[in-house]
Amino acid sequence: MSDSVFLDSIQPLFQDINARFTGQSDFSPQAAWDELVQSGFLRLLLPESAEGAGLDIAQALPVLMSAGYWALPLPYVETTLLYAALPAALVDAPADTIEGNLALAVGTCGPGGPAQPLRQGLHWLRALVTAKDGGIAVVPVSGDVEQGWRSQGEVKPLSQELDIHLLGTAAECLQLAGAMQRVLELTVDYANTRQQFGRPIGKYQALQQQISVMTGHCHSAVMAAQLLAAGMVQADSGLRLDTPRIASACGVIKAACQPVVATAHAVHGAIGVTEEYTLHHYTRRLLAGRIAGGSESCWFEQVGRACLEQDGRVFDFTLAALS
Amino acid sequence: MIPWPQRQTLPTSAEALRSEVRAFLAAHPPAAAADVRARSWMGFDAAFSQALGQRGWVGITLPTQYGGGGGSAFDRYVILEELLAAGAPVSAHWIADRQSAPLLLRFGSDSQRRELLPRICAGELYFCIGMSEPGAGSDLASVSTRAVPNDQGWLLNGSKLWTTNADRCHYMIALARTSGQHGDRQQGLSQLLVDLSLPGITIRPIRDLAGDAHFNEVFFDNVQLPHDALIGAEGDGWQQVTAELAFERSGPERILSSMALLECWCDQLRRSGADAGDQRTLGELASRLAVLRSLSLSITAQLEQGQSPVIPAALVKDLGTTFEQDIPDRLADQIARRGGEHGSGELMRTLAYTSMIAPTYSLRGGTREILRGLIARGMGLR
Repeated sequence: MSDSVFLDSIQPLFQDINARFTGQSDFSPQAAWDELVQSGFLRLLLPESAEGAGLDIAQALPVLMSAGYWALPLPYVETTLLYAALPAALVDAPADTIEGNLALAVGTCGPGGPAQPLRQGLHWLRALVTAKDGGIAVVPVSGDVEQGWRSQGEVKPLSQELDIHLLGTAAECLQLAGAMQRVLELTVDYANTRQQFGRPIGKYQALQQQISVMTGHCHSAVMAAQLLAAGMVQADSGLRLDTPRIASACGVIKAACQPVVATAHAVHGAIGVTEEYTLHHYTRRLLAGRIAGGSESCWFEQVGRACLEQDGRVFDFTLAALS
Repeated sequence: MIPWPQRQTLPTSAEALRSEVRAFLAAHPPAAAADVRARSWMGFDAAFSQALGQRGWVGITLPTQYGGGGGSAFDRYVILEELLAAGAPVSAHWIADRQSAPLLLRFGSDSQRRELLPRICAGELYFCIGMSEPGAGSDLASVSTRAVPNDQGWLLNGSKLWTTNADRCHYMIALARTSGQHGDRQQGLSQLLVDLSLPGITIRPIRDLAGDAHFNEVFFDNVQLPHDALIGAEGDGWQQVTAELAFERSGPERILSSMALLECWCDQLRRSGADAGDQRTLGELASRLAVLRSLSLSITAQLEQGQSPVIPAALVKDLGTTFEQDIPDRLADQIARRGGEHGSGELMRTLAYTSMIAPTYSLRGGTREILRGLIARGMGLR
């Protein structure tokens, strides 16, 4: 399959960035970002005519989820999706206005004030795409993850329309699904390795049952990510976002975060709350991601309203609008 | 690790069946009352099953030479989910269609297939499952019903328990010990075709907590079975039962059992208005339904490819039955949230029935705890 070729090609870089970031040894966000830019993978979803790889979202999904699997602290998925969603505004714009800002995320900010990305913990960012005056705009930002981000420079309104909040939440949720894959693998590995009372703790039924439930949450999240991808339809003008489908998938992914974190930590015991073991990077990511852009209840409410606005059965709504 | 699920959309040919099934249901409408439709899976209606058989929708995946439809697992999926979503009374032919016919096709003799499969496909011949016994529930390998070979065939003694529709079915496929001793576990078990009209069989109905009597206890007192009652090879019963259970665990019947209640509640919300709490609950349940259905279809794709995805099917059944049980739980809370009952008589009756029967969802077809053990094995923990 062509999509696994793309994944195989970029995964070593993701893994390397993860190792530098979690290893706490002179991690340079800018250097890591430059490597991502040079890889060409920011153009994964653009047509070949725009020097892109021409993938659709479903084909690109393994790469997008892998960014979450490797807990990339950079707005790779956000930038890639915004690039695909706003090609006329971003890709075709004059190089001096946009090109230097090519590290994008969705967020909010006021003039001259603090800028707040939807996603927490970003270590690199050059501009936010925000909702502004009924439209959307690119706002250059400066700062860092410690001090926070501030808007700086000229706000550039974009002529395209986009539900930027929905796209930002979707970008977050695809990564959360990938992060949950990693957390499940870490948890199963640990349960099979750690010995107590003379045998691996994974041999005890109490933990087996908990890990089985956790597996169900993770599989649901991975399937929801595929439904989410199906709700982002590419067109010449960018991405058309299918709101109920994306909202429903985001709700399911967000609802899985807390139980997955809880079981992962229960199985890992004390090692799971140490700085040296990698789990906490994912814990932070999943807990922050669950509420970024609105918790599961916020998104489920939207789905419920959409269902009630129709006349048909819940079953028919589910088939037509969510599946 | 259990492989990650791959989304599978329905082929166009299967999706095209949907409007045909809906037209059929318009001509053979299920009961109007939601609390009757809530019993869909327990609703025994031979006339409905025969009409479905005449339409070619019982045994749709079986080869046409045996009267089947020669269709795909996806065709069957669409038919089943439409029937269940409508609350149609599918109980009469259900077991034969889902597991007995595929079992006979795979392991049965040519004469068994030629004699039984066309009548199953006609919607006329009904089967029940002879697995559980008083001393063998989750621990199926401890069955003590015994079939001893004699010059006329097999002499059957023992009993089966929790046998749905035994009083109204024509045949049971019974798991029995045919060789070895009681403690031999999975060795020495066989599956036998039991004609329930034979002398020596007593069927005693068991009333359930909802007041219905769909399951039974079945006693065998020196029941003489012919030689060709044996299905497959003597001693292969355990492997055959395991394969049979994969058919039983991942279909739409593990997702849609509480849909009559959910639809009835949604109708009431449209009439009387919904607040944010109602919207949230409705949205959550619809969203989980969409994901579960996609997971279930991904298992169907594996069945269609000839695989036997026993463990992924167990995972989907665990998630699906949890969803089916959460519906009456969440709706009881929502409906009575403002103090007192705020539902029509029909809604409250449907809630009462569904709430009472919901505990069985995670018992039938393998208990939740056993399935989670299977999932743990699939994850490499056992």
